[in-house]
Amino acid sequence: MRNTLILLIIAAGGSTVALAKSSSCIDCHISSEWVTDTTIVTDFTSGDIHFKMGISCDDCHGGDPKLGLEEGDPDLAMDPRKGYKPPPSRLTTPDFCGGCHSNIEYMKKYNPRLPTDQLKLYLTSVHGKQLYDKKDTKVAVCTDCHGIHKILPSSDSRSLVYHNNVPETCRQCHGSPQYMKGYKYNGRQIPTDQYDEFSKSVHGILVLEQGDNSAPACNNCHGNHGATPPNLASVSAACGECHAYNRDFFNASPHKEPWQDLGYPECEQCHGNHFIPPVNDEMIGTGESAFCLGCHEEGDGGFAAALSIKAGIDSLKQALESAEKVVKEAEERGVEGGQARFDLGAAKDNLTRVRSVIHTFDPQQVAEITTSGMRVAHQVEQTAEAALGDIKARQIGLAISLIVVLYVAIVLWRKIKQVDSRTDFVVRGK
Amino acid sequence: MAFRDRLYNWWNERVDLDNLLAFLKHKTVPHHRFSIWYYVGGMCLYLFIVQVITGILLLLYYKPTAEAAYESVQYIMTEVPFGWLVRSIHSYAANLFIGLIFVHMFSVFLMKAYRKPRELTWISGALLLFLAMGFGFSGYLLPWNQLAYLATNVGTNFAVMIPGIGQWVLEFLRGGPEVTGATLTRFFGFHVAVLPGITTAVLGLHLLFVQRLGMSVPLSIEKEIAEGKAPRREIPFVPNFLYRDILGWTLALGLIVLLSSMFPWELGEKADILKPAPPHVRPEWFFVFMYQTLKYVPKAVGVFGFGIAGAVWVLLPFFDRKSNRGEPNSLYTIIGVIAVLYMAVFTLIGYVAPGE
Repeated sequence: MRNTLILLIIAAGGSTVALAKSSSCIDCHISSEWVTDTTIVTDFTSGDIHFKMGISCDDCHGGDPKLGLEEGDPDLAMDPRKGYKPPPSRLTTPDFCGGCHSNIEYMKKYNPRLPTDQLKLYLTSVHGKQLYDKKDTKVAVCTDCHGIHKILPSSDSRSLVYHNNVPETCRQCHGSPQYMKGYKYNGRQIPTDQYDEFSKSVHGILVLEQGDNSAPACNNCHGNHGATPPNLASVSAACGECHAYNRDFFNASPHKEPWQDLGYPECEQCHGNHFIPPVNDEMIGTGESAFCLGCHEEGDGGFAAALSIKAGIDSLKQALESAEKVVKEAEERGVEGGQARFDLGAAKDNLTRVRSVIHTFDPQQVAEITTSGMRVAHQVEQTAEAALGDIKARQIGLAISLIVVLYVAIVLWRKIKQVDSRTDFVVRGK
Repeated sequence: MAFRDRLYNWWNERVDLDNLLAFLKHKTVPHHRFSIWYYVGGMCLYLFIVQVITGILLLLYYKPTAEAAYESVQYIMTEVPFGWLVRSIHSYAANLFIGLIFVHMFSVFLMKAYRKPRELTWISGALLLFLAMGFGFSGYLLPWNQLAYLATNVGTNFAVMIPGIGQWVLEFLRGGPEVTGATLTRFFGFHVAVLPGITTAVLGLHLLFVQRLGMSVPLSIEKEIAEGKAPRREIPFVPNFLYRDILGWTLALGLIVLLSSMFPWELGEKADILKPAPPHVRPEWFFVFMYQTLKYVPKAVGVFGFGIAGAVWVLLPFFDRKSNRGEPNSLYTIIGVIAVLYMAVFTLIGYVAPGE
């Protein structure tokens, strides 16, 4: 048994051989003679980051594994007088883990880049407050998100806290109506459809379907150890982490203050929170699906601004579409359109830019970009049209040259007939 | 004395024009049911001249560096008056040139025109085919577009298979271990200086041999003449043969201009060495039969095999002794037909079902 175990551990990682040899914990906990659940050891030795770092059972649980090894008595190894700490309860888990993870000096030895403020942050989180203040052990503790004896680093794609797995991990509790029953935020039952909503959103599709770990998961907006529902002021701060331009434009816009006064949650007001559908240009303006009409009506300044902004975007889109059509036609008819394509790309950049600048809600700023984009688009269109005109000239030139070729060919043919008729091809006397 | 006569006399006194005209007046070419193939060689010569002229025009604007090559060709295609036409003619004529060299070579092969005393004409012709392929290979990279870049990568890679000196040849061709701007500059040098110089010399020899030895008459025709079944027929080179040549050249020019105007030669995307290669990258069409073959046999064996086959092909007149004696040799006809079929089928597979 011992040899098998040592081999198993050698296979898992050479640096841990010494640990296995000196520890009786693994000897007993892998044997069904002593314990009913042997998965603790198999989990721990099959990739747990602590195991890989050479941290042994007694580093967390205390006791004296050497004694157990020498005397063959597990009780000696797990003697509280030797510092043995039984598995922590849910209530004590954060402190149990925090014992090491909050110790800067200790953590430096293993990973100097790893933060050591997890426990501090946890105490500020809704989870932490519920646990410590209300002794509510249903809330998430370290092991719920990280696992117990099979803790993988968050960079490992199998980890429960790997970026793209985070929504599923949060869903374990937040997606269960039974589990979440009774939990309220702002006096209202916390919903349990966040995962479903998120999975349909632009972010969710990127994270869950396309495996894109640059798109945000739950923790990017809510925090992880300090998880908390973002309040009104911090919604735009969360979104602005990635959408920095839009945040800055909005913060300088005339909407900033009145929305604050009205208690509107900035970005979320138009874009939603967990379910953020793909944006479209109909969200702004005075059309049926425009959000502006929620507050503005015909005759007020906001209505006029929305109308002007939408008109600018539509005009730019139209100009781009028209230029694209002519460039495509020119390309299909064999005209080299590399430069036109390049310039059209620059005009298209203006459309992308203006979709961000609309967060200023300033028709003047929007018009500057749309007008410059339209100017480029029109130039491109004119160039492509000139190229198409050139094709016509080419075709006329081709027709003329083919007529000349044909004429020369006919003349030559007649000449050949003429000289052939005067020639005697048969060679005589050779 | 009229000005024309005075001019003629001036030249005649210096370069003996009378003699030249007398020679041309008496020069004849055999005339029989296979004599259409005699015009293919002249067509190749004509296309070579078209290449030289259009190539010189392209040189006025082309810039042989990785940074500027693509943009300069783009400039030729969009800004230079008739630049699109000149480049398209250069590209279409290049492909037609190589295609017709193959036709010329196989027609010569199947008519056994390489037989004694025309061995040197055949050898110089075979060398011209290799030189033309070299022109094609080096010229393809010059626009520095993605397809050409990838094809050159694939093509030069095979150099490694040459026993002993493979790596050296690869680095010599590429100007380093990878296809880079250094390769482009090098290929430009091959394309506009080294190959034209060698080709002009070999072409001069080829034409000299053709001139000195005349056109070969196929054995079957010779037999018919010998048995009195048909008379020996010849056609005066000037003007009958020359008129036919010019008619062919005129029609070829019309075809090339038609293609160039209706479907100007594409430029594609600029070469990006970081971009992943798309599936089924293949070299130019005239290398595809070899490229496809190398997918089925070990590459070293394939490269060695093609090397040997090429050498045997060049020295073919020395192997076909029966034809040299003036006897029909159906074995070589079969070999020729198989070679044509093999090249056609493997080229087709390369385009239709290239595999991995």
